[in-house]
Amino acid sequence: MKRLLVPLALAGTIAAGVAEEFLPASPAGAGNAATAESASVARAAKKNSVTAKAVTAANAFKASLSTSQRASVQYAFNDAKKQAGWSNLPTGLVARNGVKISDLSAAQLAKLRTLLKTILSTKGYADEEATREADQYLSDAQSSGQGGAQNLQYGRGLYYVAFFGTPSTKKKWTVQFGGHHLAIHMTFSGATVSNTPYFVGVEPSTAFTENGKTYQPMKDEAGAMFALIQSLDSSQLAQAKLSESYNDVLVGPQKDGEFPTKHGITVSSLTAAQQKLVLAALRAYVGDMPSSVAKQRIKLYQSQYKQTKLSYSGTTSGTKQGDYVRLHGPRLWIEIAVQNGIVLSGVHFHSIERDIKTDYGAGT
Amino acid sequence: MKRLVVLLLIATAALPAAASAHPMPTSAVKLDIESHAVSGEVQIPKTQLDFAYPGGLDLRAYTRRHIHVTGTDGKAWPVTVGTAYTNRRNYVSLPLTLTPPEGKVTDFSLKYDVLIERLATHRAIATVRTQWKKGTNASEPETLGVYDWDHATLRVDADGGSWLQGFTSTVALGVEHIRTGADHLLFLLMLLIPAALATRRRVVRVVHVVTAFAIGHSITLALGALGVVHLPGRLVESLIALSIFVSAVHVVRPLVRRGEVVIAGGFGLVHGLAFATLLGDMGLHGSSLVASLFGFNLGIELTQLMVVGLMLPSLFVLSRTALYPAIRYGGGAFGMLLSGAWLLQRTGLIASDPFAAISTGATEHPLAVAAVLAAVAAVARYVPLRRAAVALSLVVLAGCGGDSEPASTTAATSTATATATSPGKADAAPVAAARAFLASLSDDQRSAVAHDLGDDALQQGWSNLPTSLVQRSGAKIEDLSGEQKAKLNALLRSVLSAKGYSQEESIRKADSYLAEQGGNDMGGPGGGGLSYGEGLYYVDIYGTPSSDGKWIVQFGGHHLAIHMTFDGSTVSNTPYFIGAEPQGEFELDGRTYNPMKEKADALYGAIQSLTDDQLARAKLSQSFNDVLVGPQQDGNFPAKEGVTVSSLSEGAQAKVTKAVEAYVGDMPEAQAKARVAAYVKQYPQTKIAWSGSTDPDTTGAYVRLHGPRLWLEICVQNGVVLQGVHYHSIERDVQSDYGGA
Repeated sequence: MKRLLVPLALAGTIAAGVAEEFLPASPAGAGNAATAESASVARAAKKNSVTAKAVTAANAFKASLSTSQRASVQYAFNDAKKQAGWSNLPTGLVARNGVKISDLSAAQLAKLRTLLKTILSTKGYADEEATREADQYLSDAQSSGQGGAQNLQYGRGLYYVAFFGTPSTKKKWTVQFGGHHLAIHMTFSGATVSNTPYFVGVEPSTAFTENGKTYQPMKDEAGAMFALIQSLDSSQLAQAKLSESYNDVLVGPQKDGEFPTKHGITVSSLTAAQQKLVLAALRAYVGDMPSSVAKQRIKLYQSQYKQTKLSYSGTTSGTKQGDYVRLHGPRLWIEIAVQNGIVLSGVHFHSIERDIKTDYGAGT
Repeated sequence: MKRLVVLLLIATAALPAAASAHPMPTSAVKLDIESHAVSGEVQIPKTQLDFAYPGGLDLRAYTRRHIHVTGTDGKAWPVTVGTAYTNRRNYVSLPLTLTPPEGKVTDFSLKYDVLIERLATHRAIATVRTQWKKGTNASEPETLGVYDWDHATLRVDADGGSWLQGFTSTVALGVEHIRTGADHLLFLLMLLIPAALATRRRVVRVVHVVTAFAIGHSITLALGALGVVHLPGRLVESLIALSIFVSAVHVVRPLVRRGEVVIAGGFGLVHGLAFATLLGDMGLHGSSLVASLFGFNLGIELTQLMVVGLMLPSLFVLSRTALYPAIRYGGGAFGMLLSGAWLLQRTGLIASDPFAAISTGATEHPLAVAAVLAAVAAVARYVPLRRAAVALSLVVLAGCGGDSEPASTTAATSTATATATSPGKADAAPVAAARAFLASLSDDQRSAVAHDLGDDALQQGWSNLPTSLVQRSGAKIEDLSGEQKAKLNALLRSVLSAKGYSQEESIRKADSYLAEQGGNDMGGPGGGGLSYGEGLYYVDIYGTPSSDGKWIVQFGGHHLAIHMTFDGSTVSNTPYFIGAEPQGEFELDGRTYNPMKEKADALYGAIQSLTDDQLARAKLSQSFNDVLVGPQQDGNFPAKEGVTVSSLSEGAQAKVTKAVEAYVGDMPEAQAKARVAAYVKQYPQTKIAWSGSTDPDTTGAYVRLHGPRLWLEICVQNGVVLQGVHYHSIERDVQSDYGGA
């Protein structure tokens, strides 16, 4: 199965990617796809140009960098810093990989934005921008004296980009982008694209205004997860309740692969209306990657509802420290936790999406 | 391992003590491993406990149910949990005893899920606080690992080490303590002079003195360490200074016949109390305390005998020469001077010891001191009196670090400490000291310390944050051998003024104080920081030390970043970051420090001397809770704001100058003078500004001086490990940071 997938993906990439202009488009290999998933991968790969476009955008960004910047932004695919160098914490506490965006020139930044727009969906890009605005909001709150006195730096410029593996339509490579409350990992392996681990968090949890614009970065993610748990009746809630408390995510940074056993209520046992809310949650997270690849991934997770559990802890309101919701399938892992504010009063969200088998593009 | 490091980082990351939690505070499990039982303590953050168990619970019984110990033979060890108590803000502590059934501690596994079983996102950090056989003590605990929801068991190597290893480490501690304790050594020396110069039975008298001192301090060391006697550290330290003063007076004018024996025994009691404080900090008890007591004392006696062996032959020779009165009166006066200064400092009458450089210099080069004394004795014995005076003055000059170098006294010249040379001529001392330090390093150490001038680490590798949060490059001073440390100290003394050197030391002491105050408890208030301590400072050298090329010494760690750049005769001292927590005075090992006093007093004094109208114009619109142009902000100076310094009253300008001198004066005197003069000249283009408050006890109180070249800023922020507030401050030169382009 795995062996089959690789040549398929390669064939697809060649057709769709670099060779597009040189080779006559050929359906070679795609016809005898063994499963729906690999067929869709191959199909996507053919017309998909996500990987090819990502390579082009990544190379354009890299070309805009100085030699020393370029050297510091590029790592080997398996460099241990990939797993060690991301976090939900402010960048002053855990050093990130690559170059800091506040060090980029306007031209370089424009190229980076193009790259981010290419590897994320419109919604994903908007979420990324809004998360950085939230950090700027924290910075403003601190320097205006409204925040706690802290030795921590916040700001929209304190985000970093790094490449693991050289951008290529054939070989595997990862874009790592993040900073405080954000860790994006988009891994390209031929036509296969994966978007985890994907950490998103935000303080404040409610809407805020920065530079005259209103943002609420996790509105759809948190809204969907808590709407889902609120839709359960009391007997379903009893089944879904976890015995422990949570005031942070469980499988956060530097906890790669350390998933607990599954608990909670089986998603396939939920009503049709409730399952729609599960789908909304999937779309909120997975939908931050480009739609062509997001669709097949959502389909895959949907096909596993029978082995997927929904669970929660705390209250279902999503407004109190300790409120927590989790979706856990054979591959899907989404969890969201509510904890007290750090800079501001009120609460804030931490959340992470993982794929149990393909975090960082493993197995693709 | 990498995972552990990251987790520890996260554990320490709860730096903002004021903040609720980011990340969540962790628990701490601390073990004291002895031969027959393991005791210890569990510390649980109250906020997390209340969150997980809002209704409360029987914490003692609950904790007992969630700790399980198994020996190597698979047998369970009984665990006893004591009554919960609160010893620190926001933490509940429970004492712990683990008893091996066979009565002998073996390696064991410790299963622990207190709070974690309920609050899945909680973590507990386990450390060995004391393990005598391995030489581990509470001032430097060993980290075992982190407990979290999927790591409930840790293996503890409790059987390792040996009695000999433990004993040797306490002997070494004793040697180290007295070897670096200038006051104890001076006391001994003052007692030796009259005994050695006596006309009759002087060997017997020396034996009596040494024995009396040993008996005196042994008694109180034991009583103090066992907790029978306890006196305030400041009182003990002041009494020690007094003891030296009395013994120095006795040298000049004998107080009692054969009084040195009485003084040695009587004041020995006081010195013993100071030794006991150090032993007390190690957190030992039971049989290991008795053994430590013995080992520590043995180390002290051995060192003492070595000092006697080094000094006595020269003193014996001198007693038969015409220099006898000079040695007696000179030595006595020297002792009175040093001890008098200590007495004033320790009783709080003066802020800092004016002779600190002399005493630390002498203790760090005991062989050189002995060699100078031997040279003096040889000259006095073999050279006729008139010529002796001339030769002697040369020796003394060399010993005190003058520029003249008599060819005959090679041993003496090695002690030459740096003194400022006149501007225009490159100072040879820093180059020599840097080369000597580099030469003392192993190849590995040297390659870590020596960098190219263009290395990124110069700008990236320093910070105000603890070293566990921002990795420094270079060699860590606690990893250096005694000899390497001595060479490093010589280097620092040659690149800093005496004031700058004691500034550097006091900041490192403040870090040890943070460690002592629980900063190193990973579950400490606000998570503290796992690594504070005077040993966690690093040195780097950029470029090759030479008298014509450019090279830079970078030295620092938490709250300290020194950059001394040498380029021929040009010396520059920025960026220079200094900060201190606690904000004001603190006491460590019986000494009192107040690292930022001079600088903060000067800067806040300057801003307080402005008139209301000037204050209104000098006020900045933004708030600051940290320095603006801090680490990794090189060159990012804002536009100048505030009131022009030259428009201030003469008194206020004098205060500004005092502030400039407070910072710039930490570099060697000659260069400092030129630099201060350059900054003063630019007062018509220099602005003073402030924000928040002019009262340094208030968070957000901020003062800045900003000229065409001068940049000085200080701010007050909340405490991280301790209650209260603390300072961050930085001096930069707008044009010549790191020596300029």
